[in-house]
Amino acid sequence: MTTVSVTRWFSSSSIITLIAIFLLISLIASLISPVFFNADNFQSIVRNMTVVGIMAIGMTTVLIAGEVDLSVGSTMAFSAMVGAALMDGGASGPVIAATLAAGMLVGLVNGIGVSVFRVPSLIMTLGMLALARSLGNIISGGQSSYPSDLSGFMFLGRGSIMGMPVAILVFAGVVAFSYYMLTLSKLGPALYAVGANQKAAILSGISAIKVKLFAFVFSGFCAALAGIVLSARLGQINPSMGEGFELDAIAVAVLGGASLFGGKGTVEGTLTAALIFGVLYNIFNLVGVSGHIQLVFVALIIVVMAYLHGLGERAA
Amino acid sequence: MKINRILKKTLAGLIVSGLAGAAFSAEVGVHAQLNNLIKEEIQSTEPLGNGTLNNFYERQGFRDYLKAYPVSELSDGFVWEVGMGEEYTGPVSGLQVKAPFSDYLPVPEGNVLNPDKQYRIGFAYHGANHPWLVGLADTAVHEASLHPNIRLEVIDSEFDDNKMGQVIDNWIAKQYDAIVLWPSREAPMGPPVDRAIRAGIPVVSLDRRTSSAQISSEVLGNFYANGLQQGLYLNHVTGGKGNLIMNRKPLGSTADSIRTGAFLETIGDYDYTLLDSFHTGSQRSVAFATTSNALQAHKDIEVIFNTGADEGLGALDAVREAGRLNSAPGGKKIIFLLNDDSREAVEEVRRGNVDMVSPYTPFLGDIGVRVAIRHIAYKEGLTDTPPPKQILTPNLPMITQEKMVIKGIETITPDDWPYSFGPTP
Repeated sequence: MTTVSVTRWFSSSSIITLIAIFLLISLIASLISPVFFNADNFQSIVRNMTVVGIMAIGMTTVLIAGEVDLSVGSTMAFSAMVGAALMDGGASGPVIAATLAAGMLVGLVNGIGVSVFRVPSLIMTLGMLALARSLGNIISGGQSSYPSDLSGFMFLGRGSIMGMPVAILVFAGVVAFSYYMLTLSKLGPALYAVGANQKAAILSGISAIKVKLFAFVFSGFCAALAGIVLSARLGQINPSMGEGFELDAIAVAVLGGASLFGGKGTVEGTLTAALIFGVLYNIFNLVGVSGHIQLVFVALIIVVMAYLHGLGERAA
Repeated sequence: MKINRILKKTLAGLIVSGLAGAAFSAEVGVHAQLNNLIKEEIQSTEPLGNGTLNNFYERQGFRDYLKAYPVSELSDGFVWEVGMGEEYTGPVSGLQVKAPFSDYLPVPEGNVLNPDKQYRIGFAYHGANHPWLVGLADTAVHEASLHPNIRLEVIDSEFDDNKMGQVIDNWIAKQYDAIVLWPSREAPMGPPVDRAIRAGIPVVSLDRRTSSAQISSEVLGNFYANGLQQGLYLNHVTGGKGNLIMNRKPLGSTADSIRTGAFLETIGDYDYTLLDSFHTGSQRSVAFATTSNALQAHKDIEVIFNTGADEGLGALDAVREAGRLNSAPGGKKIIFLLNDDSREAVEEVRRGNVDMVSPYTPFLGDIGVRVAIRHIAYKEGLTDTPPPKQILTPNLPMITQEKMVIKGIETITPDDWPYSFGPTP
């Protein structure tokens, strides 16, 4: 099989490939660690991937639209600190609402910068990465907050419904909504069309501005939601949270089949990739692979997947 | 080997306490007490009695780190006791601060040096979003505010060594009177510090060191006492056996190498099994995820050693989420050993979730400013003697839920510890 045919096969059946990779890694993991095939361990893996998984779903939407969002980690921190500023009220609702609204606002600003003012998303979101992080520090005065008295807030990270952790249910909700949006709503085809060929999409009557605005706002929403889940699990809202998370979110999205060139990506692919990452991190930690080597692995995934997608594009 | 080493340690302990006379009495102070224990427990050249721990200890080069880190008396014969220090609202954090060392190397309040002259001191640090570092800045800014003719310029270098170097060069160009800094890493800060010294500007480092041999003064913390006390506590409550995992700061950092090395030296002759050791990058979320995985891999964890509070609290969250707080063999509680006396960590001691915290206070910035003022005084010929080159901060006693006496060290309860930093949980 030539390289081109491998990449064509990869592109056409990426979800099958991903599931095969997941099963293979799981098999290896079970040989390395006898506790791997254990319901508790699997729940732990999924629970640990909820935060990055939610962010990766948002990132997938932006990548499908042909852009990238490097600010998700900082958006998470900024929106969490906005929510934390309302914590003294003692009610979860306003804190959650303010957090999500702040995340969407950051996404809106990114979207306006990219789609209206035509600032390349790499630059726009890189600037936002620094801006949102700094604003989070200013709002919080560099100090953490503790949401432990907000029962509704804490429930999103620590609660469970009939034995199922709420964090996993939140992730499942985001997956379900995104699946509906990309496959069953009118917005899905518009996102793919704008990402694959913006000029053609505009000529077909699609508003690229609206589509990209939606993608960035949704990414901001996902980052903020992931921040709520993370803060509730840790019992702490921290202005330095989310540092470097953009790398994981991009890696999961591209491993899941989203193309850095736009127009490609699926929710099921991102979900499977998130599980692959979860299993790999689980095994890395169990066998004592250092965090630095884990980062090398993440970087390699991004580069290799970008290369494969590039080959696929050229082959097509 | 093991019995031989334990006997030698006991003998050394007798000699040290004998030579020191009333070394273990309250009058001598906890700093000297802990230094004596460091000499007794740690400063040995022999291999650890526990072969597995010894292999780990040697492989990670802890002996070299421990040898290089100074253990000495406090400057000017200072004796520190719990309760000492000034209380105020932190000018940077807005939080209540009780600075334990405000009587150490004192400088009188009001105008200093030449009262008719204004002096400029640069204070460069990293991380205005970390409670420990904000606490460091709180004390530096407060100290400067006590002296109207001192203007302190505070710059956050955001963990960018290059930026800190540029900031120092800028202060050299502006001919500042002194520089106080909290360096993130040793090597990159050596050259800028040397340039400042060549320009006649005294430089004082806080907590961490630089690679400059010419630096005017280094204010160093009680890392040794941290690891020692974690080990002493563990030996005391377990009788010398158990299965442990470690959540550690970045490999090669002073905090990790000295604390973990001292801990291993202290427990190294007993029957502990090290199940796993992780570097979690001082990040609570990483420690959380790593501990979640470790809990799946090991069903018999009895002890979680953490080099810092971030690691420890992340691990505690993971254990709570997994419902494993009482999952040590025999349904016993997993023992949590932490460093850094953040208010959150101390509160977890009060609640009985964390078993002990060995304090490492950020409230050192005031010492840095006072030492800088003393260096300026020496430079201007206002005094004959410069401040010491190495200034050790007092060893602080461990915090436990109930008062205990372990190897002569009286532990402090959370209610009796006024020096915690960071926001209240």
